[in-house]
Amino acid sequence: MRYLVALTALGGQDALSLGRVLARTGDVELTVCVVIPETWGYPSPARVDAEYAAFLQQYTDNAIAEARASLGDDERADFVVTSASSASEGLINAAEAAGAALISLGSARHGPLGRFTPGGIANEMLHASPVPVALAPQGYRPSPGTRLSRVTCAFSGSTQSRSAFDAAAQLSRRHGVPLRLITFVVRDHQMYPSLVGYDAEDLVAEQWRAQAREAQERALDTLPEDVAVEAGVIDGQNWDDAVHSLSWEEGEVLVVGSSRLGPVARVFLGSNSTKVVRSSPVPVLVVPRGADVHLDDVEPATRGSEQER
Amino acid sequence: MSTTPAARRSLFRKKPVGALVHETGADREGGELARSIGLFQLTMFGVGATVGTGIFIVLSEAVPEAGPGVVVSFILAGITAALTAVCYAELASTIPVSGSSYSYTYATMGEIVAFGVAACLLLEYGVSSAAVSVGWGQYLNEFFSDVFGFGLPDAINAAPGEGGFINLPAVVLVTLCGLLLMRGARESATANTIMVLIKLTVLLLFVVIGFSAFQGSNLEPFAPFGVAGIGIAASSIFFSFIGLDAVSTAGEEVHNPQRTLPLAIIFATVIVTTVYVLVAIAGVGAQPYGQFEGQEAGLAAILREITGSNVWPAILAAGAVISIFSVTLVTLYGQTRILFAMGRDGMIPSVFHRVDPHTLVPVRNTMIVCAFVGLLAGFVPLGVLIDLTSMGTLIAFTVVSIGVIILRRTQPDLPRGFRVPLYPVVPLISALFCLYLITGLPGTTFLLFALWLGVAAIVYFTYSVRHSLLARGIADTSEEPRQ
Repeated sequence: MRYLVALTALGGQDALSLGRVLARTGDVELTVCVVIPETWGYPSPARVDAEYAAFLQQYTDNAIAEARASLGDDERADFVVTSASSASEGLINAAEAAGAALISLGSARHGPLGRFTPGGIANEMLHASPVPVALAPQGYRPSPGTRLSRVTCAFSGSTQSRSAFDAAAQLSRRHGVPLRLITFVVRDHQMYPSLVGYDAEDLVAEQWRAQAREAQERALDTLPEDVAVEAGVIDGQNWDDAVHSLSWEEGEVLVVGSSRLGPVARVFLGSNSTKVVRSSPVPVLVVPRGADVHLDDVEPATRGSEQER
Repeated sequence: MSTTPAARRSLFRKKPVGALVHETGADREGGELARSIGLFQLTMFGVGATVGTGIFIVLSEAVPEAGPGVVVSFILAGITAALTAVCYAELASTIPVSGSSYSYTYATMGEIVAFGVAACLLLEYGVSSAAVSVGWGQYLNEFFSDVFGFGLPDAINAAPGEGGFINLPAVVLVTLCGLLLMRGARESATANTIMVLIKLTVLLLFVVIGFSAFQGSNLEPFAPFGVAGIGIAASSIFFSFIGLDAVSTAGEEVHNPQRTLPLAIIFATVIVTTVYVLVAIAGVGAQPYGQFEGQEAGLAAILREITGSNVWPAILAAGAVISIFSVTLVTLYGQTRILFAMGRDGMIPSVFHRVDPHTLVPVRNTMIVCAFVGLLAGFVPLGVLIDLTSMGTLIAFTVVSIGVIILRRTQPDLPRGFRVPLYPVVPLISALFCLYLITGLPGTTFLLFALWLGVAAIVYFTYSVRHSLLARGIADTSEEPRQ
């Protein structure tokens, strides 16, 4: 199994840290990828392109040397340089060429430390990536030797969260770690004034809780026996609140589905998965809609859920 | 069909209070919103939910019925609204969760009464949001005419009975509100306060300008249609007081309900009634009562008459457009949550209480409600909608008032967070006022209402009676009602 690490200028180190955590178990090899801009194929007057090419060469050499040094000898990794007209396109091509099952990506720099903030590359990747994308929080530096310790899946019972569940189950099987299935009951829709009493939303929340438990049970039934699993429903007055009332381990990864909202909806509303991604204190594995989830060679969870559909 | 005592008992089966509490998750640790609503906020909720339902549109319906005496009609309707709100508050405080009068009735007076009340609430919320959105369309059109110099043609701006084919602006408003609700949008307490300020500002603007053109001669004769006319107008006007129950339903969320609830009800009623009466005096003082009939976007039209300018009506119309939008959102929301509670009880199909996993909102429920309300808003004339709403609300409030008396007799020891003062005078007078106002409604409204109750009865006896969770013994009956 091979995971791709996006060694971008911003957040490249965070992506690398996350790649290392994931590669310590589960027989995973890393491909560290640097994307450089495409240059013109023809020599130009005054050889400015050659200077630019030399600069790029030096840049990639430095980046790879730095990455190699920080990886050390304990991880199996190879390094590729690819040129493309955009970073996301290059990463997707490299992932396909390497047969990577997952792409590890760092955060934009303008967000808070310890959280992931989607930048331009991440936004494009979350829409176009053919495989799940692992997002490292800004400044992600787990203590040395940290390995994947638990997989938490944010689950709602929707189609997207079914694929997130499949990915989470496969990840936990591959790496031999427990799986935690969490449904968030976020009660942030209170209307003022309410003509029907201020408990009306509690009624909706309670119904959602019951639906979530049913959906969780249906999903858990499809799991193979050898996955250690716990399931829970977490309340919060907003998404941040809900995410933070959970306990998180070092080396834990949260898995969410993504619905690929249209551009207008993304700007004005944001999806629930975006809110979870922005709140999460641990790396988040986002499974874009329609992405190939092949984190486990056996894929028992996928088979089970397909039977159910 | 002979009703055996057993059958009668099952029609009047009551939902245990424990089940109500359990459904809201209030008996679990955490989860529910920690809330404490103060007097000011509660008053603002009352004013916010009330002003905007009717005052912008009701004058052109009511003045032709009562003449300048409409001022008295407003006071009459206001007193009735206050009395019913007080009764509502006692019933609400008897049940430890806050809800609609549907839930209270189910827990205290039994299933069939609750279903009847729910049918009335469908008029109070569903039909009234249709009426309100028709009014919104009028003011939007007024705003366009003032600012751009042209309005929509009647064919797409009026219901079939009023010389058009479809009232498109109203349908658009309902659709917009529905989309917002489906995405889980809500109005915050702060937004509500802002809306209240906008509404009161434009109404006061109307009053100030209206008084500048006040002519005593317009008030004569004061009651051209006599006392009966004043009563008839009060029936339609009652529509514009809907929403005061937003105060009563706050129940346990308020600090010291025994003091806060009645004070908030009184303050809200006084503010609302004062503003309405001022608006009415300014209106009937500014133009002869004969001119009101058929006036669209009435308040703005009067302003234009007085000032001869497009600026003031445009400002008023803009304020009305913004604030009526928020009222429509709130009433539509109320309707979806009532149906949600009914779906939860198995009274109507479960599609009404499915929560969408993407938005955590009952999306299908909202779609159905908006389709229903949109049809009403697009194709039914405003006057019919207003009278139907008044009918449903008055009946529901009569039941609530009588319910207070029934409950004091059947379950005198039930703890009550708030008790009606001067029992049994207040609930009796409240019920009598409601009944008096009902008699003022036109015959067609009675006919439509009877039809509507007939439909409700068919639904109840063909579906609900067998699917109700209580009937199937599924509801959580582990806890007996509190004694």
